[in-house]
Amino acid sequence: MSLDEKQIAFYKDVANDLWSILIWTDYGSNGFQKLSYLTESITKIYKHLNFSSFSNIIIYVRLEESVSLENIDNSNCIPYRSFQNLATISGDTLTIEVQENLDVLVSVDFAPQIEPLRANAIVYQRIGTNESILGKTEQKTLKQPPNSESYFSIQTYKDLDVALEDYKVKVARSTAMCPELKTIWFDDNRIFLKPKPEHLMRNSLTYFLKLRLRTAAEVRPEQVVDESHPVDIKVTWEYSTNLALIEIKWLGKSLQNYGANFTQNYSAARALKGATQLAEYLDSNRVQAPDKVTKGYLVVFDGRRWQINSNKAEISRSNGFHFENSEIQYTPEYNKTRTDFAKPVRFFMEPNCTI
Amino acid sequence: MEIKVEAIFDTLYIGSKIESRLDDFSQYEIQFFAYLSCLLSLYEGNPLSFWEYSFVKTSLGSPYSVDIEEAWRFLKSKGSAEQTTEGFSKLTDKGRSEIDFYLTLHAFRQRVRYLDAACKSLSFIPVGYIKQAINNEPVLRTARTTVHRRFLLDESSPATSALHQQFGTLREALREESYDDLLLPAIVWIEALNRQSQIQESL
Repeated sequence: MSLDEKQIAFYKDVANDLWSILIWTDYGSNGFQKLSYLTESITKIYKHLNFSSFSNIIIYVRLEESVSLENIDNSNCIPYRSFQNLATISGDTLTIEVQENLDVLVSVDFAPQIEPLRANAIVYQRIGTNESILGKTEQKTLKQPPNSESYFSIQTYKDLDVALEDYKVKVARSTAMCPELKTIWFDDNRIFLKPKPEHLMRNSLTYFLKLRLRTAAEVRPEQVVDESHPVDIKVTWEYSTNLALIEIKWLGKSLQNYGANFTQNYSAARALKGATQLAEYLDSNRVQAPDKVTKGYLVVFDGRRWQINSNKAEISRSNGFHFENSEIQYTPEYNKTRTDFAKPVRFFMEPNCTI
Repeated sequence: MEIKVEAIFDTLYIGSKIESRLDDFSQYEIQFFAYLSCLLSLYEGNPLSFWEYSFVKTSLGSPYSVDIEEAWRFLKSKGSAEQTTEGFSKLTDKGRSEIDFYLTLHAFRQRVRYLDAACKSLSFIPVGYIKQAINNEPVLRTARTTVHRRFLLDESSPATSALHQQFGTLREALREESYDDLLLPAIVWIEALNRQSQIQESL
């Protein structure tokens, strides 16, 4: 097979996997136009709806009048003219018909029969956290982006500080949603870390920022500030002289086997060391990139637990969450003495408490 | 410097589409989607000159057109767009009226096809994935490895030949389906670029 033939086969494979192509194939140009309208509407709906509280959601745009929600659930369906008002809806199952005039019809705790619906409408379905677009006989699962509850609800940020705050609350806290962070733990109870988890933390944060920072031209891991100073993440913006250097440290105990010695045991002192290290990077960077307005961010992944030894397989809530609100006291407080040092951010990572 | 009317129209049009999705828009986003629109015009076989303005790469390897920058400044200075937060703007009523006016002109009709396909890809693919994909197309990927600021899409460049080769195979792969909506090949190409970069990263 020639290179061109391989490339053609590759494009065909990609096309065969796409839900947009499925809809075009099954419903033609009109169906594809409706799909575009449906996906735009889902994004707007999910800005307001507490969608993760429902176990089953169907959102559709009809192709035939016969599957209008007014026809199939006349007694319960309610029209909404503003997406904002969808924030008040709660229940287990939800069906929404998006109409041409941007109004939506909503039925709570009602699920239509799928077969007649998919024959006459462009349908999106969310069961649990699995999202699909339905063709006439086939359906395509949407690949869930890491650290996002839905394909249609990826938050973007203008500001690095806000992005870090959201990462703290939505990703680092539970660690379960992130493909990288969920693998940093020694076991499912998240008491100890695996040896050398830092690259997974760095990759997780890099990917989060790369996909979400709106005007960042580059989010790069492991960037060298000078010959002796590699910084974990460097963020650069277009049309701006701003540059951010992010130094990552982790706290807690890492373990290879139960009962063995800890491979690392990092206390708050590690964070203080990280702060000094970052201050040095910033000094070096001032020489290397004098035309940039650089700001340093110390990010601390905190997996500390109270009163544990290496045989511990379970942990109580009081010991597991002992450090939850235990902010680190930095001396010196570089963020107060230098304008290029942001206030350090600590991401407390929750354990799974079973006793 | 004379401001190109195509750059003014593109800035207004792309701005309005991004604004409807993300509430406002930045110059970086306009430049990026203008470049993607230009690539889609090349995919359909238009010469580079059809686009009426050209792109160079910035020091960070992003596409940049001085005509878009001039249009951006011009529209802000005459009140067609206003700042929301630092680096971000949204259209004013005046700006919206101007789009409506431009859309009545025959000269922009064909252009809208490319701008629309680029902007509508946002309804199918998260913006971060689109950025990631386009940064991996042959021209931008090659541009990032050179230090000099230079024209992107230069017809004599091997990277542009590689881009045309990709487009040729993409057209061939989708030939039997005869998609009349340019958005479909655009989606397949963006998805394929991301898959290729994932494969390369995993090697």
